[in-house]
Amino acid sequence: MSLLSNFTSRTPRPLPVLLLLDVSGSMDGDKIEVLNGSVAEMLQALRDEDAGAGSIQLGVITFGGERAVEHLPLGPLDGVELSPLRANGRTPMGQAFELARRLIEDRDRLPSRSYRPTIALLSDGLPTDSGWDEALSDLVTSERASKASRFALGIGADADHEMLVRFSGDSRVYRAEEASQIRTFLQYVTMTVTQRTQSDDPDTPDTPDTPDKDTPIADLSWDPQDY
Amino acid sequence: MAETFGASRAGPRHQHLGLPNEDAWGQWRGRSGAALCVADGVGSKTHARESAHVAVAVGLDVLKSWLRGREPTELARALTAGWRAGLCSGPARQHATTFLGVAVRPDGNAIVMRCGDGLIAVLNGDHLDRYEEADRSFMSDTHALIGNKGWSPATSALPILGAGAVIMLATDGVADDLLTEHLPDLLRTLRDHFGPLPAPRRWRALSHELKDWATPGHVDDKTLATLITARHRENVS
Repeated sequence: MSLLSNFTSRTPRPLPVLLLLDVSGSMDGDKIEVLNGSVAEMLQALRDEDAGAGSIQLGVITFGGERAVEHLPLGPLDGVELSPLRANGRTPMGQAFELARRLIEDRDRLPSRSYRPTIALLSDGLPTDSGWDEALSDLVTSERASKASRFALGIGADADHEMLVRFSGDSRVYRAEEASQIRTFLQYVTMTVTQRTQSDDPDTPDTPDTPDKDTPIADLSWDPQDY
Repeated sequence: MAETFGASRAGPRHQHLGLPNEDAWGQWRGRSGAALCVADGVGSKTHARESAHVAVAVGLDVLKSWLRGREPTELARALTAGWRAGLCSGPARQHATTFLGVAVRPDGNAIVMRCGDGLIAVLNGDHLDRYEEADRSFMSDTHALIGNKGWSPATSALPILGAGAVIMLATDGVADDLLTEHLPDLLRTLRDHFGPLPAPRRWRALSHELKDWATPGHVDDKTLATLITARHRENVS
């Protein structure tokens, strides 16, 4: 029997994935239906990749109505059952930024032996809660969240490109003109995560800032000058 | 005389890709004391392996110079300059490595040097001290000796070490998976179980431990090295 095994962790190093999902009233209909299906597909794809290793962890923060909540607390994929997302009310995105920041900065929930997290924000509109601007700044400049891989998807005509660029920190902002493209975006985020698990260095993202033109996600690249 | 030993193995990822171990370690013992160091080449750099090996070679020389009377304030610059001068392959910017080192004199005076992640743990009697990066956010965050810029190693004097004190150096492939609450027992195991073994058998045993690492999904290269101050055998219970 290995002697040193008495002194080493039996849990793998976490690779956290955090989704910030808009479930405001405007997401009702096709958008929320596709979102539910796409998140379920993402969960299954990540499970298949993780193969029970317990490394990939998924968390879901939703924002709609009066507050943001941890719809799925960040944790291993085994045994996770996602309750359906329901669209309702306003867009308290600032609260979601604050929740995400506190979660990522919490070294009890996300120890320093973790790999850098992936955060994906999906929204079809503007934040409606006061203080969102400061909450966004706090998130993207915080010690740990600033090192996360951040992706953003604007859904529809009312999404705010400038805010999403501030969130992602670079050109990884995409736009879905149709609800079905939500699936394409989440498939892309899933791919970046699975690539990291297969990488020689999971903390060095292999994802190019500008995806190949032939890939489905390239169709969603958002250049404001095009609109 | 102090006892030193260690082992290093390529991690599963490098093994799978047919790539060499990018960790390195080295030891020295003589009348003036003992020195031990480990280094972890930064994987994103082309010459990570050379970076680590040069750091160990130069680091041992620098630590030996302290054993022979060099001022501690001169060590960081000597290590950085000597490391850069020792790099042979490719441009400087393609070299980077972490570095952990310790030197102990026969009178118990000791010094540690560190740049980057990994862990130096010192068990002196029943008291444990840890020397590691304080501001590390996630696993891959680290400072390093870098060919064309970079951080200078930190140098610290240790409290006087008694007989049978244990100093462990570990690269992050080992350190990040250690249960910190069990560190004292780990160091005692290194001293009391591995220390008394004949050198070849001890190396094989430690190598085997690194090969059969218990943490699921581990991928990194692994290096663990130990220094035990003189007369440890008399204290083995």
